[in-house]
Amino acid sequence: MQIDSRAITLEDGRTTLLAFLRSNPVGDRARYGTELVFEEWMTNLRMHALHGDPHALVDVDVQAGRGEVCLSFSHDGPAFDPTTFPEPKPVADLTDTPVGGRGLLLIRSFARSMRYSHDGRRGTLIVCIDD
Amino acid sequence: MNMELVATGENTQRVLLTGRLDSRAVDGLEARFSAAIAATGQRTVVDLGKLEFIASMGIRMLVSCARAAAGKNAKFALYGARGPVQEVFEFASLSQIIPIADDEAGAAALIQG
Repeated sequence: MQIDSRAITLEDGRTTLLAFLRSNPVGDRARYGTELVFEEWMTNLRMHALHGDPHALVDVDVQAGRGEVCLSFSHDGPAFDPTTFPEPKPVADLTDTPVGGRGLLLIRSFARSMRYSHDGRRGTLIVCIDD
Repeated sequence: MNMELVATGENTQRVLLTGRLDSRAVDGLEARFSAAIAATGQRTVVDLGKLEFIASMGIRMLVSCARAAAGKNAKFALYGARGPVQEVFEFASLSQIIPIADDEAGAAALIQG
């Protein structure tokens, strides 16, 4: 599917994703992880890579089978490589912890593998989750 | 996303969150949730047994509310999270920020005093 980064289109994308998961049955955890990775990465792309451009397009491909679900996200523009971002600091207490910024942590936590590539024009993230 | 508020005592209440706590739901819920918990200064237990999905924006809402509650001397604890929702809490180390229990009695005990 090809979607832009407006919230209403993200919701359409999620609906399409859920329909795909219904027709390609996967376990509860893999289904949850697939939805989570979709939400978190699209949110990060929208805020940090697409610079708020509501019409910037992202190609999303989902494959399920052989014990895994793999999502691929491709977008035009500068590189935005989540595999190079540092791990967040360990949580100490309420006053010390940041309010937000856990999206990439959750993607990494659910993913079995993450690969990012950029050809100078277009970046692609592939995230695979165990099923 | 649905939120139900039930008074359980003179200064205690229970909030039930049902459905999905994704970025879209947070947009519509955060102000009501914070007003119900942080602004009232009450002791609150939050039932997550019917929460189907939570993403980082949902975690953000809970942490933000915890901070606001601490500033108002209000207390709240979470309970009932299951499956992948509980797993998200563990990945985010949420129990080090907000009291979390398995059941309502445990959550109530965490906010006594």
